[in-house]
Amino acid sequence: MARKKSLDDNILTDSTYLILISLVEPLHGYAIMQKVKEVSNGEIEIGPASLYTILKKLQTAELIMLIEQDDSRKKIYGLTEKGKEILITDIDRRKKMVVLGDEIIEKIRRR
Amino acid sequence: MKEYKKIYNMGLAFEEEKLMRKFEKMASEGYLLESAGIVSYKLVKATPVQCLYTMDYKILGGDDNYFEIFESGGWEHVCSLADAHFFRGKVDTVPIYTDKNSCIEKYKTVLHRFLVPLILSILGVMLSVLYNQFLSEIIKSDILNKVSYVILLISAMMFLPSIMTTAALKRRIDKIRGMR
Repeated sequence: MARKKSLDDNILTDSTYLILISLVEPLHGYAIMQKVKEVSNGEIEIGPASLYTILKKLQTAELIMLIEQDDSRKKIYGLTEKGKEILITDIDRRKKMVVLGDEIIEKIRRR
Repeated sequence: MKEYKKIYNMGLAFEEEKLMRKFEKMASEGYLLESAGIVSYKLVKATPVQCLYTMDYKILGGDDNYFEIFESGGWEHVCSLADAHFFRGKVDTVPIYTDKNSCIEKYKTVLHRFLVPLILSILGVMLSVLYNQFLSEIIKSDILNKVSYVILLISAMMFLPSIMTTAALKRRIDKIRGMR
């Protein structure tokens, strides 16, 4: 329920956010895990059960889709238009959080 | 001639972590998990190895890349028992679950499965008690009497294991929810 709700509110968990970011270019399962590690500078790794569960959820919510590939048996995932939209909204939300955070750091340091 | 050892299956909902550590200990002593059954797990003699074991519940469809994703995450599929899948990995492999929400989903899948026998057994007990207390005086029937006893017996037998398993799974979910 928790995840469904968080998708309904268009607020992404960190794992979901990183997976969506990785899928700006279509990738298959293993490459997503590698990409998440890469974009987080090795700080965040996604386990296969988490990845599988989140990919299924994102497909059901139509934020990602399978991309047809003739030459490969591997499933390739890519963002849908809805997925791109929600990702942009979430990046904006995170930016505002960072700005707010910076202001707070300033305030704390000035004291 | 292969040499085997058996570990009794006491119910994953109750002993998941304990069992995984047991499998790891057995692997280091030279017995590797080979298959899972309702009664017991079968371990086969092999070269001793330091490794990790983990398990996941998942209802799988036909065209599924589930095992492929696990494989690329460093977890080799060992065996399955219905919707329970067992994996083996090297000592430093990233755990299969790295976020709370997905891990909760794992136990919710099985919890929902166990709710059906639980509700059926409660209904069965209620119906047969209702019949014996009130209706048996009005409708006198030997067959119905027997049927109600059989239903009561089956329901009573189903009730205890299903309520215990449901409670154990619920506790697991609450525990994960409480973790930060």
